Amino acid sequence: MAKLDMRTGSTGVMILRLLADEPMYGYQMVGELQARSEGYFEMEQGTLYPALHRLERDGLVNSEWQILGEGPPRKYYFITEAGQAALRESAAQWVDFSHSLLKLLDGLA
Amino acid sequence: MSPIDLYLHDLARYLPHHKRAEILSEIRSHLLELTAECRQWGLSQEEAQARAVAQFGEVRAIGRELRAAHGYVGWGDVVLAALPVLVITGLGWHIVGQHLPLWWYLLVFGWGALVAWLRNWPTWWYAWLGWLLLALVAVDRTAVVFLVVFPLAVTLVAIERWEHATLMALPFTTYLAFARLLGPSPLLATTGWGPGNVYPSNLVWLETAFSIVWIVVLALSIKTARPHRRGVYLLAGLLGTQVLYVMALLTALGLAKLYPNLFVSAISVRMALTDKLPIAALAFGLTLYPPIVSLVARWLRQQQSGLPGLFAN
Repeated sequence: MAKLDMRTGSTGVMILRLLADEPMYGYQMVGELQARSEGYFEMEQGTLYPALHRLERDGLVNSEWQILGEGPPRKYYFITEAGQAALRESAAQWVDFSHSLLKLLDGLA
Repeated sequence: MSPIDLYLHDLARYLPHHKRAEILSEIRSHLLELTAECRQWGLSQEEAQARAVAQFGEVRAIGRELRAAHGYVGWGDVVLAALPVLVITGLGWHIVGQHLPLWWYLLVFGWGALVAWLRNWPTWWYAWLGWLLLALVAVDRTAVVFLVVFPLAVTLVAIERWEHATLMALPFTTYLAFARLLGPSPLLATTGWGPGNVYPSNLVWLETAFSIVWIVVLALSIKTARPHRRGVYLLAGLLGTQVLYVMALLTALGLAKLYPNLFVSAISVRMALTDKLPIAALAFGLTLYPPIVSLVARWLRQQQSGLPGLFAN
């Protein structure tokens, strides 16, 4: 993932972070993202899928259809080893970035 | 038709054919779950579906993003990739090389670089970059640009994506073909009748014809090929086009030799062997260079992962 590709990189790292805990399907991820960020990362739900499919294309996640109970079939996504490595790298970059930004903004907020 | 069916129907138009059914199933599943959630707020089925669709997002934007995520590009990108060759073919190599000032190129390609940067460096930008390097050679006639910057840039790009490097190298291979392999002398003219008297040099229409072939190859490989086959189609198309150049040369030589009372060519067999053949080989080599670099880089990466003690930081 590009070092300062904030626009596209942030969605990817958030998805990878969710999947690092457990496999999830798209609808579940949107809800989880909103819950964990206390509504801060509310998004147009459809924008999740291009990001998910890019991660799958790049080999950072895998997917598998599952039919559970009476609900509609769900496509679950799993993080891969490459995804874990990319998550660690991106997380370190985001922490560095946020620390630097906080230092810069110190005293303003 | 329900709001969800209508939405999926519209979305389907943007999706790559071989992935369409699976993507639509996944999004239908999401919309049905969202509908069930909206129903809990007391909305009717129709209202809940309409709300779910609205929350999901604008169909055109999401369709385009999904298409791009699967490596497909729109016709706008194909036109942008073909634009430099259309402009340069339209103006002609001689005008480009001798009459257009450097600032003209820098202005046009500077604008292209800005748009490409805003769009996160799309595929068409690499075609532009190659044409910019060619323009620098043509305008300044600086061999250093060709000998240093070009191999370096193509090599660096090829390590990541050889298809992009192939697009960058295209102007040079077509330049070699148009300006050196087929020209500058009249390739084939008639001795006393027909179009040879009207067009003393066949280079112009050959250049146009091959440019059209080149654009068709580019469009087919970028637009219609599945992403994982795109590079192979592009390479096959380019090598095929170069075979056509050589065949055009051989045909001209053959006609001039077999029917000397009807045709004449300024290119002799000796010139073809000592001058034209090495140029054809160079064009082939330039086309094959990016995939070879990519293969070597991949092999080195495999070696690196297998020998961590040797290559690790």
